[in-house]
Amino acid sequence: MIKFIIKGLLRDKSRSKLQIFIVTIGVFLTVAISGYMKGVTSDMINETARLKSGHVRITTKEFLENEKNLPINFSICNCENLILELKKDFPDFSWTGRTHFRGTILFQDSSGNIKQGPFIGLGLELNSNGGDEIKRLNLYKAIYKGKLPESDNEILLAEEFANRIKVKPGNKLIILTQNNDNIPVSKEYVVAGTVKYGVQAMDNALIILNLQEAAKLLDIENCCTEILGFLNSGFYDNTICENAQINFNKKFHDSNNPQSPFMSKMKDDPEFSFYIEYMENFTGLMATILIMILSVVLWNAGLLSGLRRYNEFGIRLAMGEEKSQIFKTLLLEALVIGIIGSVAGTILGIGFTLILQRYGINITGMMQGGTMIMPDVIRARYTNELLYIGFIPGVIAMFIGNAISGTMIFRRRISSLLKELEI
Amino acid sequence: MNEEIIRLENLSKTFVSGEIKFTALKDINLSFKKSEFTGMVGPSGSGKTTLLNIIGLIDKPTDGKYILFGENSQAFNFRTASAYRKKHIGFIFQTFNLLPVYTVYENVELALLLLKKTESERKDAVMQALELVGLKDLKDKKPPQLSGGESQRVAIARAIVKKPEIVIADEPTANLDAKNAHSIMQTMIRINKELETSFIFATHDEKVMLYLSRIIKLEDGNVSEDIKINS
Repeated sequence: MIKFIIKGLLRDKSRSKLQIFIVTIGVFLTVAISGYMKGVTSDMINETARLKSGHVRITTKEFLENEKNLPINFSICNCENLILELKKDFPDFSWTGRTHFRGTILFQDSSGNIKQGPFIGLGLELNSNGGDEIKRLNLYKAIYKGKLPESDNEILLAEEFANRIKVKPGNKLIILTQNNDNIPVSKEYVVAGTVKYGVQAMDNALIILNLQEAAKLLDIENCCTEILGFLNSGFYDNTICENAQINFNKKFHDSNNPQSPFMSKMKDDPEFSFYIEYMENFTGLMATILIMILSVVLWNAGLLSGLRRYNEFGIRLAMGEEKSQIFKTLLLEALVIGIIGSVAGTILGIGFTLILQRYGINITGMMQGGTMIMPDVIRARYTNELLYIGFIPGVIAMFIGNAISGTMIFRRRISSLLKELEI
Repeated sequence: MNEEIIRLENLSKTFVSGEIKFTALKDINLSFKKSEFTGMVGPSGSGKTTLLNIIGLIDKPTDGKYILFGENSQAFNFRTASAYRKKHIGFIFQTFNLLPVYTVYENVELALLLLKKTESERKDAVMQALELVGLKDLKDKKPPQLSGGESQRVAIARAIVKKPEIVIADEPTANLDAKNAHSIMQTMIRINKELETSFIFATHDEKVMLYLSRIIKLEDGNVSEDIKINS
């Protein structure tokens, strides 16, 4: 009998190939769109990580608690050695130091008058680590006017800030700030170029200079206000970050010493935590909507498939086959079709996601003239949940659709069924 | 030949739909013997199909007794009724109702698959049935490739392949032209004689009546005449 059913299944295209095709397409779309959305939201999270927080961040506890004031006297010292240890202990991450500080700039306006204004300084590894920070911060793309600094006395200004104070590349300005001992220090710099990111944190009164130069200016040599860790996978993973956090703090943090290094992860920041959860919930919501659409489509496909075979079931019942036996074969067929379609759809969806994860979609053309900084390439992201996100609803919806149509058919008395069939 | 296989005693059937009651059969008393070739005739709504459904264990009477092979069918549950249909009763339908994706051979074979016969038993029986209806050469064709007459022959082969004691046929010639109707009736008469299968028809077709050995006339759910014809 199984052979007989398989023959029917293979020969009736609308019962097998069409059904499998519908399930495959539905599952493929669910998996591919979920993977793509996961990638897009990950990219947005990573953008924040790259510009601001890293996936994990090491500061002193004291600095963390007074962060609004950017207290450079609570910087992490002996950064070079610490980074070397971090590279050894946590090879899943790449590490870099950054220094944030505040001050005032003095500049000459077009009339020759000396003016002043507040700024936020950002010291970056511009000359070392093979230009990792330049790539990470997309500095070549962010340069709006001029060029990257080539010597220690060159700096970059946020374009918006430079416009406001009417300073151009080549102009000189004086940075006035306080060093580690709260003693005022000043130094003249040349504006090498301006950068434009389209995000408040990077465009508002920002000055970028070389990390070592910032340390020299602030008298915190071989120190930095923070060390950021970026997962080599490129995607934030809370579990890996949490493990790194536990292990690092166990080894390096002394709770009695507020100046000892302390690692926090991206999700520890309430603002980012909300953002990550919002993104995860949004992705989850979209996936749920997709799954619901998929389920309704497949449910209907299953329902129609069952109802189309009203005639066949009527004949089989009249010939003496039991209702339960027909119902079982109907469900078995639905299960086989659901599994074949779901496996094919999942493989295609994951394949598409992996291709899009590797090669991405280049959106440079679309983003030309835009003010918002986005990655040049939008990528999908493979996660293990793609293995089941389309598969389970693919199988279950098909199964339920067929079960309902089967129940609807078999609830009728056989005589009514045969009458409806004009048998 | 005189062995009684079916007895209906004071059999009635009432359909209820909301507050409306419709009595399709009233106090039917009939007996059918082995290898009879019986036709039930009467206008639409006279109760022919209802009576066939009860005899075929597809429906149950509201009152009275239906004794099949000496057993009171009132005691049959769905499973028992299915088992009786599977083994002892063949059906021929007005619209043939062949399964279009299966070949002629496979359509006929289905009845034996349900009986869990072995492959060689199935092969012998199917070929014998196809030979009886003259369709041996068309065994690999599919129903859409067949004419109406050929399709009804396949339906007959499917009904008789398990060698049932009873074949129930509801308007078997209604969709056929006179030539095909004649040929189909001849085939059924031959099977009736060779296999001693009892045929019970429901029909409007006056031409069919010429072939019957017994005519039961139904009017408004009552048996108005029961005529035995000596051939």
